[in-house]
Amino acid sequence: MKGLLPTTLEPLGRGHRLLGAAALALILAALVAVFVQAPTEKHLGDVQRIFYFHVACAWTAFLSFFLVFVSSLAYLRTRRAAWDMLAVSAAEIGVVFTSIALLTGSIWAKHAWGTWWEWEPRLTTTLLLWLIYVAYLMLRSAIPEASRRATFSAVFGIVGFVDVPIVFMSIRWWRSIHPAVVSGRGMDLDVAMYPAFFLSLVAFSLVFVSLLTLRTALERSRQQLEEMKRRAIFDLGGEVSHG
Amino acid sequence: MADVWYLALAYGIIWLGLFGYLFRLSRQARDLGQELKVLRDVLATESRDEPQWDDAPGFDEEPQAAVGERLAASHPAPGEA
Repeated sequence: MKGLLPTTLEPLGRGHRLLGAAALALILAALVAVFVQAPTEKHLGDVQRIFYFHVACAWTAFLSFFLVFVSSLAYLRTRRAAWDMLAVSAAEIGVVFTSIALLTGSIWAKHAWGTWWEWEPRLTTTLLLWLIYVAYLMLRSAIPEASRRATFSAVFGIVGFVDVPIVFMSIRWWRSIHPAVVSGRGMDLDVAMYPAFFLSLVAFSLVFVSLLTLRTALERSRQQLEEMKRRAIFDLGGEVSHG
Repeated sequence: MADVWYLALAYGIIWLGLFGYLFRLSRQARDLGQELKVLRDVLATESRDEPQWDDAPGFDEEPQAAVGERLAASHPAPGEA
C-alpha cells in the first residue's frame, strides 16, 4: 500500500513555468501599453484606463464559463472524472474574474455615473452570472459522493451557461447605460487604444490558461489523495478483520 | 487627484484578486502535501507495527481509527479550525 503513494504531489512541469513566465511578461507589457501607450480619454480622464483590464477580466470569465459548459457536456457524455476536474477548476477561476470585473466596473461607474451600482441590464445579469457560479461551487461542496456531485454539477454548469450570452447581448436587447465596446457597427473604440485593449485580452487569456493548469493539477492531486486515503483505510480495516 | 485614487483602487483590486487566488492555490497545495506526508507516516508506522498487532491492546478497532484521527488532526473540517 505504501508503495502506491506518490512521494510528492503532481509536479508542475517546465511547460507550466514557461507559461506562467509568459503570462507575467504579457501582463507587464499590457500594463505599459495601458499606462504609457494608450491615450488619455478626454471625458473620463485616467479613470478610463480601468476599462482595459476590466474588459479583459470579463472576457476571461466568459472563457472560463464556456469551458465549464464544454467540460460539463463532455463529462455527461463520457463520465470521465478529468472533465469534471476541468469544469470545477474553470468555474472557480471564472468566479474570481467575475468578482474582479464587478468590483472594477463599480469603481469605474462611481466616476462615470456618480454611483457605485446601477440596476441596469449588463450589471444585473453579470451579478446573476456570479451568483450562478458561486451556487455551482456551493452545490459541489454540499454533495460528498463524487459521481453524484459531478453529474449534478455538470447539469448545473450547462444550464448556468445560458446567462453568458444574455450578459453579452443585454446591452443590445434592453435599454442600458453600460458602454458597448463591440456593437452592431463593429468596435466602438479609438484605434489608438487597440494595442492596449488587445494586449490585455491576450495577457489575461494566458493568465487564465496558466491558472487553469495549476488549479486542475491541484484538483487531480486532491482526488488522488482522497482515493489513497480510502484505500489506506480500507486496507488497514481489511488487515484488522483478517488478523 | 480623484482620478488617480479610483485608478489605484481598481488596479489594487485586480492585483489583490489575482495574487490572493494564487496564494490560496499555493496554500492548498502545501496542505495537500502535508496531508500526503501524514498518510505516508501513518502507513509506515502501521506496516512497522504490523507483526506486533496481535499483542497490542485495543487491536480490534485501533488501526483504522488511528488513520482517521491523524488525518482529521492534520486537516480539521471547515468550522472546526
